[in-house]
Parts: sequence; C-alpha cells; structure tokens
Amino acid sequence: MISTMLNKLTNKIPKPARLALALVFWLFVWQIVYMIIGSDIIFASPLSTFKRVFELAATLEFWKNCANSIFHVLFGFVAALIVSIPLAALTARFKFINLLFSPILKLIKATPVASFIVLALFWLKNGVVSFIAFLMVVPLVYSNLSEGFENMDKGLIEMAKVYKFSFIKKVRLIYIPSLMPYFVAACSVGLGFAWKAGIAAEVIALPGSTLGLEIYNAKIYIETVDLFALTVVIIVLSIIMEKAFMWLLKKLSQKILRGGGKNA
Amino acid sequence: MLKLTGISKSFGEKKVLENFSYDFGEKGVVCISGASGCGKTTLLRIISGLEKSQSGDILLSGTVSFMFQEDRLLPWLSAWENVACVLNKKSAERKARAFELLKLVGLEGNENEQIPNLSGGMKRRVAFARAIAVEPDILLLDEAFTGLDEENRKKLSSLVSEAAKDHLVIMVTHDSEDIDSLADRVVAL
Repeated sequence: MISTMLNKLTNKIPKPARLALALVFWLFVWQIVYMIIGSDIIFASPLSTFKRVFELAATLEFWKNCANSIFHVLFGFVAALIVSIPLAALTARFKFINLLFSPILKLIKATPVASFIVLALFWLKNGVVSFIAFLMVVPLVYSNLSEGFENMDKGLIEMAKVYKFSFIKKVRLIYIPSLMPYFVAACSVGLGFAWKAGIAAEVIALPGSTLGLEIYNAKIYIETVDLFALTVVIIVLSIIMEKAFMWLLKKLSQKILRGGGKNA
Repeated sequence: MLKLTGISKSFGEKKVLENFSYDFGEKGVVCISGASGCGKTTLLRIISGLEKSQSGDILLSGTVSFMFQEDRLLPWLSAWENVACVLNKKSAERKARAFELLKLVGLEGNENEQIPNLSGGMKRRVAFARAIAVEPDILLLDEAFTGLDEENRKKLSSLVSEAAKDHLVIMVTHDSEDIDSLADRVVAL
C-alpha cells in the first residue's frame, strides 16, 4: 500500500527533478557524515569541496591539467575502438581469430590494472595513460561486438542477399543498426573504465601536468579537500564525455541509417 | 524461365529433395504443396540461390525475388523505407514507388509507421510490397498469405494473378483455396 503510493508519487515527479532530488539527498548525507567526523583533513565537506572546485577552475593550470587528462583518456579510448571494431568483425568472419585472441583478452580482463601500469612504465617512454585506457576498453568493446555479431538476425542477411544489397548497403542498413545497442553499451561502460584506469595510471606514472598528478600531490601533502574537489571534477568530466559521445553516436547512426539525410 | 533437373538436397542423414525435376516455364502461378518438412521451402531457397543443391542443374534466366515465410523486415526503418531500400532508383522516385506499392497492398496512410508498430498482417503486406517492388521475372512466395484477413487475402491474390500474366510466380502454400483460385500448375512434393 505505502510502496504503491510512493511509486505513484515518484512517477509524478519529472525526471530532471527526480535527479535533482536524489542529488540533494546525497549532498545532505555527505554533509551529515562530515558533521559526524568533523574534520576536513579526514573527510571534506560539500561546501569546502565545491569552493575548492571553483578556486581550481579560476586557474589556467587546472584547465591545462583537465585538457591533458582528457586527451590521454580519449586517445586511448579512440585507439581501442579503432582496433577492437575490425577485430570483432574479423572474428565474426573467421572463428580461428577468436581462438587466438580470446585467451589474451581474458588475461587482460583478469590482470590487475596496477600491474599493467607498472609494466607500461617499464616498456614505454610516453603514452602510458593512453595505453592503459586502451587496454581496458579493447576487451570490452571486442566482446560486446562479438556477441552482437553472434546474435545478428541471419534472416536479414539472407534477405540482403536475395535483394542484392551492396556491401555498403548491408553495413548501413543491417550491420550498424544491429550492432549499435551492443556498441553503445560497450562505449558507455568503456568510457568509465578508461577514466578510472587512466587516472590511476596518471597517479602512478605522473606524466606531466594532469589531474592524476594533482591527486598524487593531494596525497603527498594530505590535502583531502583537493582530493575531493579533483574527484568531483573527474566524475563530471567522465559524465560529460559519456553524454557527448553517446549524443554523437546517436546522431551518427541516424545519419548513416537515413543515408545522409536522404532515405533508406 | 526456370527449369530444374535432378535436384537433390539432404540435411545430414535426412533427404529433403531427391532427384527433383520440373520445368516451371516463363509465366503463370505454380503452387507447391506438400506435408510439412517435405522440402517446399528448401526448393524456394535453392531457386533463390540461398541454398546449394547437392546435385542437379538449375536453368534460370531473369531476376528473382523472395517473400520469406517470416517477414524479414528491417525493424529500424519505416514501412515505405523497407520497400524503397530494395529499389535502385533516385531517392524521390524510390519514395514515390514505395508509396504506390503500399497503396496497392492496402497500406495507404501507414507508410511512415515503424515496423514494430504494425500488426502481423500489415507486416506481411509490407514484405509482399517489397517482393514485387523489384519487378522480378520470378517471384517466390513462401506462405505469403498467412495471417491476412479475407479482404487483404483477395487483394494480394489479385496482385499475384496480375503479376503472373507476364512473370513466373512460385508459391508455397498449405491452403487448398489458394491452390484452387490461383494455381495454373501444381507441384506436389
């Protein structure tokens, strides 16, 4: 009875307002926890955290750090897409490729990211962060797309054969729309992984001015407020990048499906 | 024109077609009937090139179109786009032709509907419109009228008869009424 009433009430609230309410609730919880602990050195308050975010945002160095971190993560992510998409397509065509790559990809998935970061430090002079982001995203996109190819409606492929669809037409009208849900899911999770692993790599590898270096400094100088502020910034950047990428992907797939604004 | 000679096909141990020969000719409606699993659909698949026979010869001239037992429509496109996508014409011409064909099968006003929003019978009619859109010399119909009401069944039947005046229509059906009303020749498997 109470649950039904609460569910009805929740459904009546518009989605943005629901999100704002949830955010306010957790900010409130955050503030309460801070008040119980009562020390900015152990647990920063929401107020001091957001104040610090604005202080950081007023400096040129902060934006430089953000740009570098975005570049590292994005480079690794895009490189992973460039490698894993053709690899999954080849696997769908030649099963032995899956036989070859499957153990390696399982190994990458199971290996702790910290081990890869240290190994990458031994192997590479530059690009450790991008390499780590790349390693985290490849198995994810590859396995999702392989599953997409596996579950593809073979009836549509036969239909395309009967009606003599060109290769481009098949890709545009059958392969891309069929694989898109798998690709979107992989990219959504993959971007989050790339950010997490990328920042961890920055903290360990310290590749010049980055958000990871600032987190490292916060650790050294026990600047808990800085750590909280930088974490908020990274979360916001990760969400913005995911939303922007998903929007771009949606527009692109619509454009491809409609043949660049014409029709099927 | 279509002539099959000595066609055999097995799936593992199971022989589906054995030494099948038939001269389908150039026009008219040829109905293929028989019990489930006797190879009716396999025969259409061999004619369309989707399946290879293990022996025999196929003499075929002209274009082939196939309306499958399942609709096999692209669910992310609208009804008219599903018809237009098989046409090799300019964009505006394709759209006009697709609208024209959908009107013929009684789907006027539903051209812009997305496939998941259509009923089973409506989907069959979109699939039929797509099959005749390419103006094939040989039209293969696999249980084309399944799920259609009486009115639309008649509409599609008259379109099949019309097409069969100049082209060859090979139709797999279980329905004796369809055979009686449409068939110029019957092949029992």
